[in-house]
Amino acid sequence: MKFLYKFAVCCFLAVVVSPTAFAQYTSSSFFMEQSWQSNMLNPASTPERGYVLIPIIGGTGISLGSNSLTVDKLFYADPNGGDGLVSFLDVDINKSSLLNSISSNNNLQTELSTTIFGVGMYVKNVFWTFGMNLRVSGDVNIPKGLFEIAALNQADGIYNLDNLSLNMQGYVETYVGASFKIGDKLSLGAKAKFLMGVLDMTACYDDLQVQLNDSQWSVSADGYFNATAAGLSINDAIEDFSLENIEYNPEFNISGYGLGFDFGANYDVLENLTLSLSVLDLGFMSWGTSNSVSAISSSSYSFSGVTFTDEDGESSSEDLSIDDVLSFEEVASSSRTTSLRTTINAGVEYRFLKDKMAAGLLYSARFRYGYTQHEVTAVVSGRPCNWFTANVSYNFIAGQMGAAVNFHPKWINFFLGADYIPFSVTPQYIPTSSSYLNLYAGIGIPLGKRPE
Amino acid sequence: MKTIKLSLLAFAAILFASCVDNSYNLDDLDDDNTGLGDSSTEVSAPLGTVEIPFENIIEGYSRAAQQYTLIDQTVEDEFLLEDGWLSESIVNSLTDSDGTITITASCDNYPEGLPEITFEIWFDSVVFFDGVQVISSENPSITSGELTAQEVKDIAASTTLKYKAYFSEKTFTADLDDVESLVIKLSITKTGAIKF
Repeated sequence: MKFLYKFAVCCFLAVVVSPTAFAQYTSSSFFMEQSWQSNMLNPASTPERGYVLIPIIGGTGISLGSNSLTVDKLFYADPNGGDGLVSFLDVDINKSSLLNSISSNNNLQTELSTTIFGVGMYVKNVFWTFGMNLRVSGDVNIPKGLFEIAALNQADGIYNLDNLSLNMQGYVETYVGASFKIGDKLSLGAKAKFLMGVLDMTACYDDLQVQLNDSQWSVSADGYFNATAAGLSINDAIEDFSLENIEYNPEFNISGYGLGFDFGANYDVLENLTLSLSVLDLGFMSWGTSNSVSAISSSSYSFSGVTFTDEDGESSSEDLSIDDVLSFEEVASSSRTTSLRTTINAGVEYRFLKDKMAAGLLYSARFRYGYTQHEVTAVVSGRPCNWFTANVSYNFIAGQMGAAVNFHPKWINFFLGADYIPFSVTPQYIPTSSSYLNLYAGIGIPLGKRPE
Repeated sequence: MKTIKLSLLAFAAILFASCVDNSYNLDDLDDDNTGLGDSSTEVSAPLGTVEIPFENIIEGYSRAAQQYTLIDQTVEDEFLLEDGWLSESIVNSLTDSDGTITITASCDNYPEGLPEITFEIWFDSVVFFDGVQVISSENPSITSGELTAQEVKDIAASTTLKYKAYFSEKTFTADLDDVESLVIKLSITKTGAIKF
């Protein structure tokens, strides 16, 4: 049982404490047309000027999120009056409020998109972009059954932990894109991406059931583990699977290849009303067998205690440990194909006060590992002068405010944005009561203006 | 321009710093009391089963046709236990937190008409059933009381489980086939929270 919690805690830490957890882009910038950010979210949107993005500071951010787990649900003041915090696993903590507030599947997620370089420029009436980004995504799913075991609240003693999983994927994308207008009302854009895979890892239990009653404790597990990365050492993990035993000494080496595409369209229904639609990261990665390890877990175990049957004193006994059930056995690796985390954005923007102000509504669907994240964001944008834009947003799903500012005079283009501003954070800067946190900042050097 | 940027950065820094809630300092995490369940948890874990054949008990009786008569006032036997039969983690769990060990004696198909059986069961010096509880066709299972933390440690260190068992009537009539195939099961369970 302790293994399950080690697994869950490792997953939580892998996502929340990961130093390479960065956001892809901020939704708050979707309607910020002066920023190159809007082109990242919708290839049909073009900034007023071209740009050159400097490595790292050209675009960097941080993003953490969960559909239901927050720090204040998992950690509590010591009920015995101690100075420190205790976790929900403390036996003096009543778990009922936690169980009532979480979902059947609890996702933790993180993303990275940092600029290696990027250029956008107008050539006649076409806005061309090309560049290179590093992307890393991570998803963890913790089924409610794991928390129910913490509470031991099931009368029948049956706990379902299906889809306990961890997935991480990292790759470098090299892209080239073009945006152009067709007529007065329609703008189209597309990007083609060549992807070089750096890391892919999935540990998942398709079927995991724990039964605890007074006559028998049993566990049945059916799962798989696939990992591909240069510098990954997991031999110990295969013998006694534990994420704590995985050693990863990153080597920048290509372990897989793939293709991806972004598409976007803007249509001016009225002079001041625009509809937008974009599809991002539509594609796949193919991972080879080199630098790969695959393993499966398929076993069951039951424990009904020591049995004494012979009056001469002989007895039979079983080991109480269930680690053998949850451990993985190595199997031959085979090449595999994984999909990218595709995002669909659909928005409507209404501009007023001679385009000094705008209001927009954005729907986003992100197809992550094992689930889809839906968001609806309302954005109000102020453009008081020709070198400054500020947005304020509200995410209806997360229930959180966001904001973004963009300074775009002739000599620099500075962007700072966050979709989920927390009102309270721990001393480690993790939000205490809100589920999401992201921040994106970048500096671009402006190039030539859009042709008249 | 510089003034605007510096003001914005300063404002953001002040806002972020003012939101820090020091009562959620994750560096001060205390995990000494970590486990499953809480003080009200009544989950049971099977620790062991002792199977006592009826024929062991009948050995203390003389038999004439279908009639059994007690010839030995103290029908008793013992089971030798393996060292560490109760794992260290379970002992620690029980002695560090609220929890009890119980023994339930049961017989799935106790024949009607057979007299009650009275049990005395103890691990070395720790007594579970003190001789007043009985098992019968109307009452096919009986449960012991709770143990203190010290008693849990004592039974974990025990090397024998002993029992005395005798029918409530010194003379009774029963079909041999009815009793020789019967087995009384003593199920040892731990109830309470489970500490890591």
